[in-house]
Amino acid sequence: MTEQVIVSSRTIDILAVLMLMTTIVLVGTSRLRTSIWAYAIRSFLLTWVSGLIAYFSGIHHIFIATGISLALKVILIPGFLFYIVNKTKVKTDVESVINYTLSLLISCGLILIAYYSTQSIIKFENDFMGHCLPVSLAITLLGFFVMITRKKAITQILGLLAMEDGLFFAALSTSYGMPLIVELGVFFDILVSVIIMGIYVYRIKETFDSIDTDSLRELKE
Amino acid sequence: MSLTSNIILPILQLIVIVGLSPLVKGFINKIEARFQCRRGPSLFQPYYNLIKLLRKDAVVSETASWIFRATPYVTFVSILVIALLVPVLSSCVPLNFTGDVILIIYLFALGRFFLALSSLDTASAFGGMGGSREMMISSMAEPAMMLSVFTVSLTVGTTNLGNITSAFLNSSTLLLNPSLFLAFAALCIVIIAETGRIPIDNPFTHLELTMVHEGMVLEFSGRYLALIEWASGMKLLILLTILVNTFLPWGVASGLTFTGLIISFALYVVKIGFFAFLIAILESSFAKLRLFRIPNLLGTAFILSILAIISLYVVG
Repeated sequence: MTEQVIVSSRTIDILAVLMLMTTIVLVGTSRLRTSIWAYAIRSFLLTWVSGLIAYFSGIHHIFIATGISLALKVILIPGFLFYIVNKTKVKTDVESVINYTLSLLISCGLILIAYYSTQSIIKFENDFMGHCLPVSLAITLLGFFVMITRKKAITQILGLLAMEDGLFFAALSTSYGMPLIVELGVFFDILVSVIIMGIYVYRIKETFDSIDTDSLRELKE
Repeated sequence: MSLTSNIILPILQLIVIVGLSPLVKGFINKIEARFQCRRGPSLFQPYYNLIKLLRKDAVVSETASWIFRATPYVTFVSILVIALLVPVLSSCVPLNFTGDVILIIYLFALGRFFLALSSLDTASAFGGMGGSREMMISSMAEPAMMLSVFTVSLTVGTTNLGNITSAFLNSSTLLLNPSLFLAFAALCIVIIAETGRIPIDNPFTHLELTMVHEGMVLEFSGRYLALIEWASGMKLLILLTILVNTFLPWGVASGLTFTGLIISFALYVVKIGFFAFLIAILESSFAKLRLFRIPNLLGTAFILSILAIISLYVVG
């Protein structure tokens, strides 16, 4: 590999690792606002990576995806989530089913699984952008983990968004993104689902006076 | 190295570390005072404090054993030895032949061990509390520190800090390694924990139930207290030096020329000043964490360092 290729691949790798760090923040923090900020920063890094990949590869439709992702994931969705948090006036503590130290350890295990399970593919690719695939798998797994273990509806939304980020990043880094029409569909899907879930959160809050999804079980009685 | 450089370099290094460490403390205090819209004490206030304490007589409890009297000297000397094991202005290290980064970690642990022992020695309630908390924090910070340092060592292939610095200086792409970024982040958290700055411990508390480091040194007075305070200031400066000269080694002199050392010193002051400024911002914008939340933060550091070393193995 020439020096320029090494530098660009390493730069993308570093951004990928920073994205992984923001996801660890999502698992480790106990504040709702911090986790929304973590999402916004991760989306920003993801946008940056996709801009870089578009620039290096010269594929035009990634630029369009980058622009949409900037508008949607960095500005619109975090803004909407902050709006929901302010409007419902929930206590801004994140509540988890298992304690933080244990969930940090479990997430560490998940990341290790992601690295080891992609090891053979990375070696095949001759280390070019070697961190991207394991990081995207790790972000997907961590998002899934957050969705399972967190009690509040908003943190579950953040878990879903993390999963989506992971999948988008995997597609971007392995095959320069999906066809544009698919990506547009996914973006639109995410936007609509976040809005619907936001309204849903608001309704849960109105009915049960908390957004703890455990209280939904009271419907049985 | 020639004979003159064998003499000049250690002296220079000791002057920089021992002499500048109170200034770093004063600088952080000044910046924080500015953030609180106060004028704050003079930059040189820590020097005046040290001089005042050195002149005063030490009061030692009647029940204290020799450990209590030995602790300030052990702490101070262990930090002094570390000061000679770290590349400061030049990538040549004075005590190159004796030890590497593993020795540094254990020398830090030696000082901390004696401090915790002496806090139990006088059997004051605050001392025991401070000592047990310090041990809890360090038991979580130390593995993270070791793993992140080993990540750097594995990247370069040596545990000698001077060789690490010169290897990073010589190669332009070696530092652009994602694993090193993870190690850097972990090391930043560990440094805050090790030096007892704000999210972990508040250095400005006296006689509060939450104190950690201050609780341990509560029984010390006079010159003993001066030595311990000075050693803790040096510890902060040394840890920042390790961070700066490992991850941002630009400008560190590789030989011992006069101009090289001058440039290196100027850049060193700028880099250390930048990180001290960051610490001041951090301390002004965060509250101290509850004691039971500390494992959370240090657990994050530990995970980052594990990831650093694993990703180095898997991806390279």
